[in-house]
Amino acid sequence: MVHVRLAWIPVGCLLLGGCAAPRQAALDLNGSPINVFAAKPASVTVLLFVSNDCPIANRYAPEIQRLHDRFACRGAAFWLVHADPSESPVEIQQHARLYHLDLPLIRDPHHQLTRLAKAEVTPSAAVFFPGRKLIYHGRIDDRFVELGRERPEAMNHDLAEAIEAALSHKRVPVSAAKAVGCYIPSEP
Amino acid sequence: MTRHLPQGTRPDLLKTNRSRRRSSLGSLVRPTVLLPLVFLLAGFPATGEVTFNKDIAPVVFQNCATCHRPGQSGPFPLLTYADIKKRAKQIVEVTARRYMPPWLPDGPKDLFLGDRRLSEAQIQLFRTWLEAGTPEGPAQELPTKPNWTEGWQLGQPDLVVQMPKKYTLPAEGRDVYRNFVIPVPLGKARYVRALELQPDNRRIVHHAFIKVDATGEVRKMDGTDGQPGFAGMNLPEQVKTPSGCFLSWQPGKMSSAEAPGFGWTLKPGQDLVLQAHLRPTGKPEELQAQVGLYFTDIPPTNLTAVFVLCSFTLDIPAGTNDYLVEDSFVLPVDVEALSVLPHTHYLGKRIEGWAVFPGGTREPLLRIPDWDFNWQGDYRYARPVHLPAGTILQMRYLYDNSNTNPRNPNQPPKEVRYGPQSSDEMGELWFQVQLKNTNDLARLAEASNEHHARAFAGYAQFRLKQNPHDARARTELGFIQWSHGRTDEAAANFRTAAADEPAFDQPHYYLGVIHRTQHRLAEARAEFQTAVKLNPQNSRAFGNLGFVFLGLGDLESAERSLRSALELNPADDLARNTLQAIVKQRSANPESRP
Repeated sequence: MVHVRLAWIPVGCLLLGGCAAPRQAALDLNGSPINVFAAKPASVTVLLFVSNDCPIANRYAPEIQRLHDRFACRGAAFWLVHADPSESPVEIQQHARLYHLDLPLIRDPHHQLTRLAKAEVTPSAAVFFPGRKLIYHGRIDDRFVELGRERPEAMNHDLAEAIEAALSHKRVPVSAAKAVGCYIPSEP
Repeated sequence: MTRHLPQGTRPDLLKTNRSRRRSSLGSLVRPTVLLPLVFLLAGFPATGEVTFNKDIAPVVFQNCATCHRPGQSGPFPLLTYADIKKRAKQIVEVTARRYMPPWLPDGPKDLFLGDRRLSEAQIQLFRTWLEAGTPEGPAQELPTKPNWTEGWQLGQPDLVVQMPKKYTLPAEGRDVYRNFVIPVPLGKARYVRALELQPDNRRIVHHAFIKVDATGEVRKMDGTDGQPGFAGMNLPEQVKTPSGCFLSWQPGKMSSAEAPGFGWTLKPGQDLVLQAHLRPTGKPEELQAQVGLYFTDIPPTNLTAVFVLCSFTLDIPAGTNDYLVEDSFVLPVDVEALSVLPHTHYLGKRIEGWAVFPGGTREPLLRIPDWDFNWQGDYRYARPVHLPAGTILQMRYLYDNSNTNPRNPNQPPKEVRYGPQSSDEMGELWFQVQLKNTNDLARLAEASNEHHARAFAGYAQFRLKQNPHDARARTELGFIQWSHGRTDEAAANFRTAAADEPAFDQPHYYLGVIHRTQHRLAEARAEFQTAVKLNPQNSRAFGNLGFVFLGLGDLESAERSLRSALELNPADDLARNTLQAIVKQRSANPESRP
């Protein structure tokens, strides 16, 4: 299945007049294109969309790290995705240090992953099976109901449940739950 | 200077108008009436395209960038075209919902000072700009940014005090309510005309109150859990807002100095107590706030007072979404209302306070349709509101203890009663008023104390109904009875309380006071001795014990007790002076030493 898709991409590039695919791809912090679905062999891929100055995304930093520490060892590949094109690699690295985030960092300035993950705000998450099959997208948990209206503690941990289900080959309880946070700015 | 609110307006007028408007929008007739309005709005951009430089920047600079700039409370800056373009969609949403700029009361725009609400036209401007694709416009149309005052808003303070130690807020978890004790090095009493809070870390302080402790009580609570300050929303009753002033802080609130003749007096030995609501940010944060004090030589001769409408007997069943709490208070004298301060916790839903004038007309004094604990503070009337003697002040609060209230601290919801913790509830509406003369001040104080005592007695009885062996409630009831001259009833309640909770010092303390006032010094001595044995921190029991020993002619024991009282409460001038007199007498008659 994966091979078939990859085979089609060059044809698409030709049709568009010149291969745009590498320019559109997500980048590591050195600026090299990276395919998160091929970089690590993983049964489940988790993308976490954050930004440097979204207070809600920042409040989730300890929870994001905890989810990584809990599930990465069980075969889930985690990526912390910065989709705001104005955030520089240096700032992103500083931010990760400041918030004690020890996860692979990538940039998605052209929103290739953002679109694939249907991410609109930070923080939000997406869980994929191999073959880029999106099985969950949306909020990390339900602590925030809307901006300025939050629970003292989360009641439903949607992302953790989705990853748990995916890793144990069970049905994901919900496939999408609306995330509350800061809009990811559109491409410049 | 003063004014009446427009006569004949009913407090529910706003609500009536709103519901009428909402329902008629849905009707079939209304669109034709609205049509001219639609044309007007559509015609708006005809004066030129809405651009950032011409239209958006002035609104953002005036209304958002006060906080949304480096070093202030806003989590990100809103200063440049890039900053604002990037967040255009968010700005449209939060302004339309009126989440930003934050301002809780509805009603007329000119009622309170510092009203941060945008106009409907300004909100529409953001929408139009976003729909037009966020054009920047010609650079020469960009206004210069306001000349924001950096640092102290009121200029260099006469005295800057600081939290003695840094407090570290954990990276995550529930919100934190923490009280910090800030000693003030004063050689003599000073008149304070203004006070300004400078949280060094504005990102974490969501709101704060500053109060004054003259008793040394809070020093004993400071740091007992290993971190600076002490936890919780409840301060000891002796910690007060300085006579007749509310000192609240929230992001974006302007600092203001009192007019000459207003203000309050700060005395040597008194501590400031910073009560802060702190929000974790995702990483450990430090706080070491500063308070700037501005003094004046003009004594605060204008008479201000604060009093409260409240209920202590609230008992909100789990699942209820419209629990009603009401209270009223009849003003015994003419007052000018200067400001108003509502207070509830996370179940508070709607807040209303109004005045019923002697003629029967009702005027709204405060309306908050969607209460948000996070943005609480006091509201100062733009012009003092004249409330003549005989005016009835009323409060009406609604609470939502269902699971559809996301802020509900209990999930699943449970029965909630009065209490100071964030999972308890409160219902208070404070007024700050100005009075004409000291006679009026005394009459207001008497009426207010009476009102408060009745509410408090009701609360004690409410708790005794739940648990007849509640020694704390029985002691409070006894205290109120005693202060109303019902000494026998009071003494009986103190004795029962002492039997119900043998380790509790307060019933013994009050029994001692009763004995002392009735000149039964031996009995008084025994009760005070029991009180200090049960609670060696009870400075007032030590002070009383000192005077009882003095009455019994035991100077040495009197001196020892008064020294303990003074050690526990350095602000106890009576103990200090008496102690000095004893020492003087002793040195005059050295042979009287045993």
